[in-house]
Amino acid sequence: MKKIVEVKNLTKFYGDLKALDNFSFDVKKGEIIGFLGPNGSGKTTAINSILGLLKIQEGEIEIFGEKMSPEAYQIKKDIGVVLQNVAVFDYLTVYENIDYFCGLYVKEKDKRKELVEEAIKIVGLEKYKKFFPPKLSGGLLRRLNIACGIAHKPKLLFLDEPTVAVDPQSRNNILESIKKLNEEGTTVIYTTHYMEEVEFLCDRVIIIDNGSIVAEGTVDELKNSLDVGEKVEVEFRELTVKQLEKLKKLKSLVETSVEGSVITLYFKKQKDNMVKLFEFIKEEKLEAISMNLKTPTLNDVFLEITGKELRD
Amino acid sequence: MFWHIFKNRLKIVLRERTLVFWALIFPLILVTLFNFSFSNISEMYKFKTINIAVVEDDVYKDEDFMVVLGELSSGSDKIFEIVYVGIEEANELLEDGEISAYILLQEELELVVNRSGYSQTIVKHILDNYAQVGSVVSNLFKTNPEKAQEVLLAGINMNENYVDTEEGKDSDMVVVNYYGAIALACIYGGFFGLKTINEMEANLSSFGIKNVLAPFKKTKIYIPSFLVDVFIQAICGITLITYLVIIGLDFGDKLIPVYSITILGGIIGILIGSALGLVGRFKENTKMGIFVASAFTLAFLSGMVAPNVKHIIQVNAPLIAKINPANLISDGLYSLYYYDNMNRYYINVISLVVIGLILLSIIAFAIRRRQYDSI
Repeated sequence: MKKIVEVKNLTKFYGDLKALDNFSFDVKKGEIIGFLGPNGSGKTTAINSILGLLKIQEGEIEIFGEKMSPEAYQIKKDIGVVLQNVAVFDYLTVYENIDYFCGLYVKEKDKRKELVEEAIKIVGLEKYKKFFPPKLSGGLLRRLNIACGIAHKPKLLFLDEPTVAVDPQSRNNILESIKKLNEEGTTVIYTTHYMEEVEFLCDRVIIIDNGSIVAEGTVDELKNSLDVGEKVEVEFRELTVKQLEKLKKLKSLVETSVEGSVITLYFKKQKDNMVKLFEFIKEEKLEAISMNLKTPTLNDVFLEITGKELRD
Repeated sequence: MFWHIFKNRLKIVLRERTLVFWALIFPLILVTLFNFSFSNISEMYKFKTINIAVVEDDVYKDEDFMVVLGELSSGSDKIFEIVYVGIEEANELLEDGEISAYILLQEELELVVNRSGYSQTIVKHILDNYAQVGSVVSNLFKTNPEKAQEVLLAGINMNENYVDTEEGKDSDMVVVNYYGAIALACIYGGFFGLKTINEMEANLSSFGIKNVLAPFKKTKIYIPSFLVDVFIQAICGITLITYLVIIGLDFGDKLIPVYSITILGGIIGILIGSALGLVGRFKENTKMGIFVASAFTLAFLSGMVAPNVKHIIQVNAPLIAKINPANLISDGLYSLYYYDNMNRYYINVISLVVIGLILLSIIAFAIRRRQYDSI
């Protein structure tokens, strides 16, 4: 499949701090690729470097098969950007804001009108066309921010944490809007520190920490790369020390942690983990008050690779 | 593209009440408060006939000078009210403050005053001018009295020696206050400039990032935005001057240069704001605060609050006076009022243009940048 973005050995310093370290990846046409990493990991720096906003010390960036530079206007006209900070004019209405930003890319008034209406529909702001931004809720503002970035129908769309501090309803709307745009042919690069969003949205995930790519692949590929399989949180009515020691010796168990009356069991990735646990419960005649089975998440992937949580 | 940006930018600026307040409402309030403080200003500007005495010499008679005195002390717009007395009485009148000066008619005309001041300055200049042009003026009075009067009054610098007299002091101080307020209003154009530049640079705002990412040079956004700022600031300046004319501030008969320097001053204000916007990465509100303080300082140094400051700066720190745009605007207006010729006005205008070009060069150089070390 045709590569839309190709980044090789991107290195960026802020003074002595290495913000991006030999950062290489590519994005294929029609993909939604997620940059997942904790705050300060280098996601936004990566985006800004790719867009030619930041001076980089090393690396090559190609977009649509051409070298990206600050003067690459032919490339820029097919790019859309939704920034982390909402950038809309307080003194223009919802419609006027979208029209203004769309107008930076599309000169024809009639065509622009159609595009603006379409963008409003995509983000579900039909009822708020004449509202001024200060009258909108945080979620609606974020939707407007997105509409301003997508109205000109870019072929490549960068979204930098577009759902920060957004209510669940608006978040769902935003994620659905992005899906819809992608279905219409837009390639998307999406940065977030919410793993649920990446799981819902992205074809491929690039996990970033300290300016480096620490893992890359589809969600399933990343989860399958884990040593750990299921995680079970179980609470017994009564469990002796002897029984606990016996439980810890279950063959497929990797790690055990006890917090109050809840025991968390981390199993190896194999098929009969739960069968063995139930057999143990039966043999010891234990009574489980609650049992919570969790499959691995991207946070577990991040935890295993970096030793810290995504939201640290 | 140009109209798209111009139209939207115009909407934004007109709808942003804070900007409109600082650029238009605040200066109007300020000059209105001045007007309350310095009530009857129009009365103060009216030329008051100067009471003088002439002590005639029994031997010496200067017929030409008598013709000149006769012309200057006749008609509804006479300059002098003259009493012809002996020297003792003249001294008494001078002592009592009934006259500003007396002239001793002798071979070399002599002016006697007991203090320096506005009226005394005028009398002295007329005598000096008469000493230079002599009988030509008396002949000129017969054919063209207005021209003759102009010749005699030429070169009278209302700016000199005023500080010691109440009448001169008051009128001069009032106009300096007003001109300083106009200068402040011009410099306040910087609010627009600051906002515009803040929205141009990727390292200053999210709008800046969007503008830098647009598929064309940044100047395509800056130029229409700047022109909107100039347009709005010009309207604010014109409104302020018109308001001042209506409430009775006398700008003389040179209103077009008054409007011109006000508009030019507004452009300089916009450029100052833009240049300030480019310095450092403080928040917009912090920069606004710095700008307000800077603008007020510049206006203060131009004599807006304490007119003597203008004089002190001009005497003791002339370089500051020459590079302070508020002072150049204020002084330009001042020169239009006090001088017949436009030389000093043009010097101020040229100085403003030079400052403007320097600022514009800095801004143009800075906004060419499309890549940043950090955002």
